[in-house]
Parts: sequence; C-alpha cells; structure tokens
Amino acid sequence: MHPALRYLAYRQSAGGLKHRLSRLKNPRYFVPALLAIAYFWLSFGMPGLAPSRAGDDGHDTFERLRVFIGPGLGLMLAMGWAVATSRPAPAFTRPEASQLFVLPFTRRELVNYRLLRPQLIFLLIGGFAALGSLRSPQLNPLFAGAGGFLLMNLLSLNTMAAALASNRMKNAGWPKPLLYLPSLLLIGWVLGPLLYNYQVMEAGDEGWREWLLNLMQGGSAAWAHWPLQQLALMIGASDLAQFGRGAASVLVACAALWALCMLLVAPFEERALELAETTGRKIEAMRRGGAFAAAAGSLKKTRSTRLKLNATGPSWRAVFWQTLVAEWRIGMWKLAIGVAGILLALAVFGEHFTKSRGVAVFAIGLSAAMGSMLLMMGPRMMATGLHAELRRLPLWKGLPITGYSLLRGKVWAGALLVTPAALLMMTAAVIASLTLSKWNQAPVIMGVYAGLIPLVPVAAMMMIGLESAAVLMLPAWLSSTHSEPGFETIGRNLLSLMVRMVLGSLLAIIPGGLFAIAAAIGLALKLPAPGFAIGGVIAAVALAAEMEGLLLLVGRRFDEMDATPE
Amino acid sequence: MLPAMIEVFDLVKTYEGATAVDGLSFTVNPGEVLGLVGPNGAGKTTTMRCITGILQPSAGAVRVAGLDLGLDPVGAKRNLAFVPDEPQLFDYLTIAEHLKFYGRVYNVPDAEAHGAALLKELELTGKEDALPGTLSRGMKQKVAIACGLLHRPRAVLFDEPLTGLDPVAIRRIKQTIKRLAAEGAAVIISSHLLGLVEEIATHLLLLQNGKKVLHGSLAEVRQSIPDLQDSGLEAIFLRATGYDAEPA
Repeated sequence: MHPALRYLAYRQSAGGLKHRLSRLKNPRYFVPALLAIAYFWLSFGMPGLAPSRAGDDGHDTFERLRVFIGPGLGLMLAMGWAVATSRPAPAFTRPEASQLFVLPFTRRELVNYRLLRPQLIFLLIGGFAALGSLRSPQLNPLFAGAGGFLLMNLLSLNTMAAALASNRMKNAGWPKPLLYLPSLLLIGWVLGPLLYNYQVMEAGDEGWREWLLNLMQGGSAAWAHWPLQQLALMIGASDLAQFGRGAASVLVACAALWALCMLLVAPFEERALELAETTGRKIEAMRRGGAFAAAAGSLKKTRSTRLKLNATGPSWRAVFWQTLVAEWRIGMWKLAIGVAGILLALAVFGEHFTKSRGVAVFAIGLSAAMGSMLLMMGPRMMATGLHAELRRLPLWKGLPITGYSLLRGKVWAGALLVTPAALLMMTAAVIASLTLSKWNQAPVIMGVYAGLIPLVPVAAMMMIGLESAAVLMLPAWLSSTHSEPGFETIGRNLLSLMVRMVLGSLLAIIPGGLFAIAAAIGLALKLPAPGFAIGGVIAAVALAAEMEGLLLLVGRRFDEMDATPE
Repeated sequence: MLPAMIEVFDLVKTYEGATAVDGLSFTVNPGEVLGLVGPNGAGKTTTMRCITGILQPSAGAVRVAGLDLGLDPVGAKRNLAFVPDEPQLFDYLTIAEHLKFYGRVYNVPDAEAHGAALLKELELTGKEDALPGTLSRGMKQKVAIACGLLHRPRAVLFDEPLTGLDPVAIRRIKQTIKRLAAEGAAVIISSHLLGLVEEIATHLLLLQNGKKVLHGSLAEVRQSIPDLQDSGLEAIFLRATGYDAEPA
C-alpha cells in the first residue's frame, strides 16, 4: 500500500482517539464516561474477577448459544452480500471520496486503505469481547479478544468483496434480480442443511437439547457447516489448539476474500462518491437536525398528511400535529405496533398450535418485558423529542409559543404514539394470563387490566415528560445536541435513565398511594376487580394532574433559556 | 507552441439514460486559464469530474499532460490538482498533517518549505496545528487550495473557488490563479461569477445542456456575437443561452 495512505489511516485513527480523550477534560463528557466505565465494570469486570461461584452457568449458556454462532455468522455474511446490491461500492467518507479519488492512487491501494482504516475500532471491539468473556471463568479473554478482532476483519473483508462484486456486476449490466444471486447462494448454504436436518420434536419438552444439537450440528450440517463451525470455535476457545484451528480458518477466509477483492476491483469512484455524499448528507443532517432530519433525508417520496389541523386555535395543538405527523412518517412506531401485533397473535393462538403452556408463559414474559421497555425507551424512540429538538432551539425560541405549549404538544403526541403498541402488548400478556389461570381468577385479572388501561397513556406521558424535563433542566448534560458518537454516550443515556427513575419515583408516590387505597377498599369489600379498576382510573387522573403541573413548571425553564443550550 | 496540457475528446457522460455531457471536445494549453461557465445543470461539474478521473466517461477520452486518464490514471493524476467547490478535509488531521500527507502522496522533496510558503501566501500561517473543525469555510477552502498546489501541478481545476471567501481572500486567490498560469500551468475555473471569469480567464467555454455553445479566447468569444462586442460577459452569456429574451 502507498505509504501516504498508511500515514493517513494512522493519523485519522490516532487523531480521532486523541480528540475523544481530550474532550474528557470537559465534565459533561467526563462524568458520563465515568458512568459508562462503572456500568461495564459492574456488568463484566467485577463478576469476571470475582471468585467462581457454585452453579455459575455462564459457560453452559455460551455452549448452548455456540450452536447458533456458526449459522448466525453465515447469515451475517449473506446479509453483507444482500445489502451490497443497493450499495454497490466501497464505503468511503465524504472527505476520502472528495480527496483520494483525485489523487494518484490505484484502486487497489484505495481498497487496501479502506480495509486498514477501521483497525483501531476492531481492536476496541476485540477489547470489549475480551471484557465480555470475563463473565465466564471457562472462557479465555485473550482468545475472545483476538477472535473478536479477527471476526471483525472477516466481516469487513466480506462487505468489501460484496460491494466490489456488486459494482462489477452492475458495470457489466447484470439485471437487478441476478445481483442477489451470491447472497441467495450463501443463504442456501446456511439454511439448506438445517432444513434437511429438520425433524418434528417428539412430544413434550424433554430432550430438546439433543434435538437442537442434531438440527444445528448433526447430519448434513456437520460437514456443510464445518467451516462456519470452525469460525465459531475461535470465540469460545478454551485451549490454544481450538483457538488455532478457528484462527487459521478465519485467516484462510480473510486471505480468500482479500484475493477476491483485488480480483474484482473495477471503476467504483462514481458509485462510491454518490454513496459517500448520500451518507455524508445524512450525517450532516443528523448533526444539524438530529435523527428526524437524517431519517427524513432518506425518505424518497411521501404524501402530505390528511390529518386535520385548524388554522386557528391553541399553539400546543400545532406542535402536537407537527410531532404526530413527523413521528408517524419517520419514527419506529409502525414497527412497535407490528411487534405488538405478533405478540398478541402468539398469546391468542400460541397454545392452540403448539399444545404447550410454555408458550403462554413465554408470551407473558416477552409482552411484559417489551411493554416496559417501550414505556422506558419511548422518549428516546421519538425522533422529534426535546433531546433532539434542542438543536433547533433558535427556531422554537423564535416562534410565538410558550415552553408549556411546546412541551404539552410534544408529550401528548409522544404518549399517543406509545399507547397503541403498549396497550396491545399488555392485552397480549392479559390474554396469555387468562389461558393459564383458573376461571375464578379471571375477574381479578380483568380488574387489573381495566385499571391499567387508563394508566398506560399517562405513564407514557410521564416518561416522555420527565425526559423532556430532564433535558431542559440539564441541557448540556442530557441533550444529544452536541454529542458526537463516543463511549460517553452510554453514560449519558444511563444518566438520563437515572434522572427519570428518581423523578418518576417521586411523581408516583401520590398516584401509587391512591391506587393502593382503592385496591385495599375493594379487597375489604370483597370486590377486588372494581377496586383495581377504580384505583387505576384515580391513579391515572392524579398522575395526569401532576404531569400538567410539571409541564407548567418546566415550560418556564424553557422560556428563560438562551437560544444556545451551552 | 507547447503541447496541450488538458485535452478532452468527444466526451460523453450519461446517467441512467440522461445525457449530462454530450460530445464535448476542447483543449487547454499551458499558461491558459479557461473559464467554464453555463447555467445550472449545464454539465460543468460532470465535465470537471470526468477530467479528474472521479467519473468514468461513457464515451470519449481525456488526456492530462499527454497521458490518457483511462489508460494511465495514476500518471495523469500526478500532473493534476482539483479544488472542489465544497472543501472536504479530514476531520482529525491538522493543516500541517494535511500538507504532510499531500507531500508524501506526490513525493514532494521540499514539501515542508513549499507548504509553509503556500500557507503564508494564503494567509494561513499560525494555523498549522488547527483541526478543520475549528476553521471557517473560507479557511478550509484555502487549505484545500494549498494542498492542491503543493506538488506544483501542471493542470489545475477549480470548482467555484471563491465561494465563502472574504474580499481579502478573494484577491489572494485571484493572484494565486494568475501566478499559476504565469508559471505555465493550465487552469480551468468553473464558476457562476462571470466577473471573476472576465477578470482572470484567457479563454471561455460556455456549456448548455451538456453541449458546447461558445468556446475560444475572450476576444474570439466577443467577436462571435458582433452586436455585443463591447458588452460584458453577462450579456454574452444571456444571449448565447437564450435567456436575454425573457422578461427581467
């Protein structure tokens, strides 16, 4: 490779690292970074270094998961080739495409540079893999780290080979469906042996481990997936020989893919420039306007909404309308409703098709977990939430609108978007619970359900309202206005969650108390179902009133803010 | 007469059926400054990108310093510099490191001394250790120019070189372009600023819908429209492109 490109790759990586380290002098980066380190230490470092506990099943869990790693890796490789059909060029950044394509470098040199550039990131990922392996005393952090690093290189080479092959096929005028041929062949390689091995599991849930092992690693999969199994061996290697076999397999695969890259290189500058400019525009939009602008930038065409907005009326309704339209167009809400629909179908039909009560338990657990997560993550799922909208602070401050109206519009719209999916998930959990319960327990379950229905939208309102309040109270710490991606982003999200949890707990005291009183009266009168239902309604009303007060209070803070949150 | 430094033969560039440049031929000799003008969408940027090797011509050929860009792209690009309209610098390289990188790319033996001279000429002295993120748009443009000129290119292409610059910087850049031409470089400037073209270009190429409308020295261009011989380029541009008939 040209020495100038080696210099560039090194300086870019070292400069980026230095920049991220030097900004830790600023407390608003340092504290979140410290929190992120503490989180990783408590999650991985401490359990890993603690004396081995009896019954530690980390390795067993990994052993069970390992059967999926080989085929999973195969599917990831196939995915790389499928994605390349719509991105048929190596991914360069905008400055790289703008400068390097004009300079006297060969295309092979450019490809090698592109493969060299992310090595520091791959090393860091290897470090995280090593840290993660500390959870299991049987895993070797050195092997896990080196394995992670080598696998990242394999994936990078695969992506490059796929992009160059796709570019070459497009240059040769291949019709679009044929561009998917390599990915389909790879998918066939991964799934074919599994389908061939598939046998219906014997009645009962016993022996499923043998069934799974036979499906994933027995029969035709044993020899067809041998290369993939070798790659998978490397990550969880417990001895040097095992790791050596895996590493040798990865190195052979990497060498083959690199040779393919060198062979397939053809004029790619035009497509690479187009790709770099599109991606660059998205990144710039992200920096200037947040996720909303970035996602809106990738919308190819859309129709104006038919959702009504009166020409006159309170200004919060305009914000409510703007948020609702933008979020529905570019947010994650359709996906959330789709997932909730699948959970509901699982709860309603799962037992009928599988004859297993385990499915109902699974549906309850998954619905409860995903519903709670939706409520917790709802504020961050909002592309136009205040954490992102502070980028447009001068625009909002320039409009004749109070902070209260802005917050009310945003919070109500957000709550309306979270509610359908959350209610569907809750309904799925209730239906699954009814299939497991005795007939005389059904009224109580229905009572709790009736009580929770009004609480869901208000809880969503509370989570979004608290997030907005936290962002407005501590803009420099919690808004994503000026944050470039970095390690401390994890800490910043943790900080935001902590603030919300503390404030949420304080707000829940009165509604929780009212709910408890109503439920206790219901139980005393031997009418638990109406007690829970009425308690839910009272708690929801109390929480909504508290939220109105909070929005009024925090709205004032917005009115007093300067146009720059710094 | 010296051989032409930039030669474009029957250049055609199509994008999914749409023709952006249609059978364009022209040459730029050493010491000449060619002003490349035309309405939006005329094919100026596409032409520049074809000459710099970023885009592959659909037909035709481009030669720089006698080397065919299709057959010997690395050799041709060694003689070339391109300053884009929107300077895109590497985020984590300082200005000094940018110059160091470009010096290494072209193996410039006196890269340090020449780089320092260029920084002084472009009034960037003292900014050597600055990262691009801390610079204004105009300063970034000057850095891009310094990087492009470090290897003393024989052919230089500027795409809207004065966008975002203050009056002092504009005067500096104009002087630099004139100096380059006086030293024997072939220069192409693509710009909508007809005043700039009139002031520093020796030749003009007017494109419309990917085709050559006017081409020649400024005097020849003026002579081609007899009733506008004493008019400025703006009047000639509007007449040649057919916009002078539209109500103001």
